[in-house]
This record gives sequence, structure tokens and C-alpha cells, in this order.
Amino acid sequence: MIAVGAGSFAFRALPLLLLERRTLGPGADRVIRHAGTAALTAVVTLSATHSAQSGNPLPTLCSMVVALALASRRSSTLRILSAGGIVFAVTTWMVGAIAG
Amino acid sequence: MTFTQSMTHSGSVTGVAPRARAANSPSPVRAGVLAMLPLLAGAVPLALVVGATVARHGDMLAGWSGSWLVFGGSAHVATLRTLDSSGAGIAIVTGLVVNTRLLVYSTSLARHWQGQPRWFRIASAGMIIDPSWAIAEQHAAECDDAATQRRHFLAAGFTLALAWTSMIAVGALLGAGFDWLNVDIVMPLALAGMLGQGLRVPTDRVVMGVAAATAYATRGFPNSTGMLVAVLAGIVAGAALPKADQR
Repeated sequence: MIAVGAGSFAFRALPLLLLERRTLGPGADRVIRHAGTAALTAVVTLSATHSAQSGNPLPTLCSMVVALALASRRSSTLRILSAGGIVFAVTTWMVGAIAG
Repeated sequence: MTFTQSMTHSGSVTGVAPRARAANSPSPVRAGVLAMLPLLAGAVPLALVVGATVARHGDMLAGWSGSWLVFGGSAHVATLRTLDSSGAGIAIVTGLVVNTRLLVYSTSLARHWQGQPRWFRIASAGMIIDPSWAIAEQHAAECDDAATQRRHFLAAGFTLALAWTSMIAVGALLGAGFDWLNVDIVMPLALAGMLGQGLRVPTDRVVMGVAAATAYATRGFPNSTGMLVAVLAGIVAGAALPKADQR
């Protein structure tokens, strides 16, 4: 834990300290912005995939579609969680009912 | 948003001062706490599960220490699970690979924090993770005042840190009591809100589509290296777009 913690802190602190007096060029700036977006997307994808693997993937897929649609419309996190959770629960019930 | 103009000795206009907080806007500390609270809905269930994982590994104090040392659920759980299957060396590598995205987050925040003092850079570093990064990015787009950004981030970060470490402790104490809770769906739903801004930008939609497809295709890669591949694929996709489409 200490090793992972020290390495994680270095990942967090080094860019902040190294770029204290330097700025990135427009090209590097764009790359970093894309990297941040890609990293967060990867985390969401992998956590949703993990959820889908625990049973039928349909509830996860439906709830994520609803969540992303609401997110694109600037909905609050609470509304996204509520709507996504309801869709997940209803879809899970429907899948269970159909499966018998 | 208010603008002020400052005058030189001769009375001529010298320029426009940085935008100050409007008199009726909430304090940055309160705003930071309020911005983080909804995201805790996703973080708390995950923290309980991390705590339960910690409990299954025997040394609860050592396992719990990861809550504030590592400060990342996915890396924390990956390290503990890999420790069982592959030993300490591989576990350390796995935990660090999962957290390499923190380099990206931190570099991204460094762009907005040019005027921040060193003590803040060091203090804030320990609290950079997906929710706090997303909140800081959104806040930086709305406010460029250094002191306001500092207070906002520290308030959001401490709120997350307090909830995260205490809920892991609760999960560790209650152990397998949370096995029935299907928390797997909560985290992606909570994080989906942070993708909203990117979904409205064509360039970012391409980056996100490529990153998501790559992350899914490489989900079986060892030691979570698939995440690194997904980040690289997203960067390449963004860079490959015509310059006119770049934001």
C-alpha cells in the first residue's frame, strides 16, 4: 500500500510541480485534454462492463444509455443516478420475469 | 460575473481586472462541498465494497491505510486482489498502472492552476482523483480567480476524502455484510454525469467513442494495462481529427 500510495502521489504531484512556471503549448494542451476525457471514459466503460458481467448485461446497458442521455442534457448527478437506478431495477425485474 | 477597471496615476484605463466573485454567489467552500455531495452517492457504495475487500485480507489497518495513501477505489481493490493471486511485486505494478491516469488529471489541472502557490499544489495533489478532477475542471471553466479555485477544490477534496476514508472503515468493520448490495452499477452512473460536457462537443465525442471501444476490447489485458491503451487510443483519435474540428 505504501509503495502504491507513494507512486500515486508522485503521479499527482509531479505535473503540478514541474508545470508551476511552465506552460504547455497548444498542441500539448490539446493532447492532455483529450487524455483526460479518454481516461474518464475508460474508467466509466470498465466499471459499467464489470457491472454487466455480474448477470444479464441488458439492465446495465439500458441504464447507461439513459444516464448518458441525461448527462448530455446537463442533468444533475442526482437525477442521473435516480433515473439510471430506476431503469436498472425495472429492467432487471423484466429480465427476471421473462426468464421465468 | 463582475468586471472592474483599474486606473493608472494619470487616470487612463490600464485594463480589466480578473473577474471577481459576485456578491450574491455562494462561497467557494460551500460550492465545493455542494458540488461533491452528489458524487458521493456513487463513491460511498464503492467505499463500502472496498472496505469489505480490506476486511477479507486480514490486516485491516494496513488495508485501510490505502484509503488515504492510494485514494482510488479501482487501484485499491486491484492491488488487494492481485496481492492474493500474484504477490506483492505484481500487485504494486497493477496498482500503479491503474492510477497512471492521475498523471493526465494532474497535468490537466496544472494548466488551470498556473498562479497557485506551491503549498496548494502539494496539498491538493493527494486529493486528485476522478470526481475531484472533474469538479475542478468544470469550476476552472467558470472561474479563473486563484483563491476561489483553491478554496473550491480543497472543500470538494476534503469532503470526498472524509467520506471515502470513513466509509471504507465502515465497510471493513461490517465486512461481508455488504455482499448483497449490487453496487457495481452505481459508480458508472455517478461518473456518467462528468462525461456530459464532452458529449456536447463533436471532437470529444470521437475521443470518448474510441476510448470506450478500446477499453471494452482490452478489458482482459493483464494488470489493467487496457486502460492505458484506451487513453492512448483516445489521444490518437483526437489528434487525427482535422485541425478545423479541434477545440
